[in-house]
Amino acid sequence: MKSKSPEDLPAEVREHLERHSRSFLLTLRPDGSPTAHPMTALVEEGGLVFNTYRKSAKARNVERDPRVGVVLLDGYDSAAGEGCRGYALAGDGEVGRVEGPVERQGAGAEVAPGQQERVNERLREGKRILIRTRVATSRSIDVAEPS
Amino acid sequence: MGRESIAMSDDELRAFLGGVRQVVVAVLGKGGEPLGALARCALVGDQLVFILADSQLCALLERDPRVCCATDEYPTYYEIRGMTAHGRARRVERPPALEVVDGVAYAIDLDDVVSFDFEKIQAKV
Repeated sequence: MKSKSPEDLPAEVREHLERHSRSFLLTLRPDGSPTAHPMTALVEEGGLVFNTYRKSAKARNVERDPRVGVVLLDGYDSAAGEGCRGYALAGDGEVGRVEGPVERQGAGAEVAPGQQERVNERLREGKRILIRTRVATSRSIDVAEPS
Repeated sequence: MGRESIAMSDDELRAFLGGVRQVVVAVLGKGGEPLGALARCALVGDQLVFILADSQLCALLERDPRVCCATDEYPTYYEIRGMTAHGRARRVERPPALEVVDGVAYAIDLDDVVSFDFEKIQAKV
């Protein structure tokens, strides 16, 4: 496991994000148990940022306990039985608002026509917020292969 | 007016999970922080069985069995489907579908699941 200072996104993670954006944000529920949220991870100034509704469970979880994990994967081949690989990150999250539109950087998955404009409108209205994460550790992961 | 439900029915969830071969697994670290991994999985009866290969994460799961398994698929925006299952992991015998995969087999029940199917969104952009 590699330790990094916050805001210093590991180079291999940055390179991964240039090709893939499938991710799961891990947060803690009110009872302290773990939960996972499928998300699109975007790069912002060395960290990761996630866009979601202000009243969502994930936003409330991060506001209550900032400890988060992130799993970054290289594709959507699970249904075909192919092994995904990626990175597991750990760090802190922070809920924040934005004034302007959010640029989709890296390999963001395609969204429906008009969807990005609607998301930006709701960000301006404050109905949606950003969860910014400061990555402290990272490790590569994959699934167990047949023996 | 409440938000529309885009959750899968029980039958839809079972059909979806029947085709899933791996899940993201979230466990608790020693300090209670969320840690992630990937695991091969199979739907066995009413349980989701997964094989955890990382011995450190297995030790954490033995210490605190609270776990979450999640997966999704994204052919196109309005075909996004996925689910997140929460429960307490327990060690089980390796099912035939996963007998050739290295690691420790755990199972969780599917009685605390959040699912979504974007095909059910009524107000498409």
